[in-house]
Amino acid sequence: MTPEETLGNAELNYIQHFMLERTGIALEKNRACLVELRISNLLRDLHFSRASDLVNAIHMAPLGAVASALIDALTTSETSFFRDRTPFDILGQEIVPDICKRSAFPLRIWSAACASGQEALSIAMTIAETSQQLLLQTKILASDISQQALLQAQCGEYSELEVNRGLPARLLMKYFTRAGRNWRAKPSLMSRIVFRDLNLVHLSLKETFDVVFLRNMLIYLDDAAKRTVLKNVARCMSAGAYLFLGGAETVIGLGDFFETVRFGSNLCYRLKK
Amino acid sequence: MKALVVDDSRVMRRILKGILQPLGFEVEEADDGEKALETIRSGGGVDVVLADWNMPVMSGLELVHALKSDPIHSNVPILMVTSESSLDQIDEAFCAGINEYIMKPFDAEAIKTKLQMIGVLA
Repeated sequence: MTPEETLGNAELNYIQHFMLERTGIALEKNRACLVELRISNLLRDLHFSRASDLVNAIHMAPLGAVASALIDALTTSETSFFRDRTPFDILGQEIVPDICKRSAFPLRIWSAACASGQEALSIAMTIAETSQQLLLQTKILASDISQQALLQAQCGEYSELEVNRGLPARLLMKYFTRAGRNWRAKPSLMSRIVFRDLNLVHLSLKETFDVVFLRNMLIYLDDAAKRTVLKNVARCMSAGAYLFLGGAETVIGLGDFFETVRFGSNLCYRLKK
Repeated sequence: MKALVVDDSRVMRRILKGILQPLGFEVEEADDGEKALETIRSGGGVDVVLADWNMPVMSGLELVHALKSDPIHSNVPILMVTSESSLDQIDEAFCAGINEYIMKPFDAEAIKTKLQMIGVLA
């Protein structure tokens, strides 16, 4: 059965509206093919014969398991260890020394759209490579809206294909152990990370952080949702805290919470005083 | 930039060539370590070696030892591309002098990031 046969305009419109309201994600018309393919796979996995069955199930229980499965299916994205490398270099070489001079411990870092956990582990390894002692004084929150992605993140287990993506082999040897065909992050890293299911559009988080990684998430949102997310995230940042966005993302035109900080030819953002 | 792919599997050499050429590499091939050494020593400036571990005649690890003890070519970066994946083997390869290690299976993105790590790609 092709996606075209399973997904009509009415169902697609409902799903677009649901995703926008619930997650802030604006499903783009030009990516409709990918959306249809993912929904088609979801229908098969849930043993639904028609997209209208899926829509009805979500309509009956908007916070239920089927709704979660839809969010999982439409938000799971490719990621890698030390993705784009530079933010981790800046974190280890510039920001952590700066924060250590002026902050009380523990150092608090938030991987706000952590997907399957590689970013949070990359942060933990960056800190550990600076100082093992400092890692013991660091708390990392890893959050995502996809419960499926969070489950993998909590396991800390990755295939060879996944560890090949961006993880230097020396760090693999130092911080991972064999788990059958897979590799598992050692407790020294995992014990520093707390995992939580959080929706950044409807955020209820009381803690504050010294550094926030919010990378490659805003690109999926419309401008109103981007403003809401940045405002919510800013509320959870301590004075002078740093924010990393993805390479194609910016805060310009999306509120007045952040200032740009340059490190050589690279930049990140800092919460305005 | 020139990459030398050393693997006794023609299919694997073809896969790596298909990844490296779009990244801007001119690719030379060798099906064992001894032929790889001949290619490197014959001049022409190899910028990076991607070597399998298990090969006939001369293994990838023997190739690494030979290159590292050759004063003219000891600085050529080496990426080990292999099915061997125990911690001891990875450690042994690093002790021999490789720059990075990648386990099969891999994808184009993995090869690209490993080449970036060892400074061969920007």
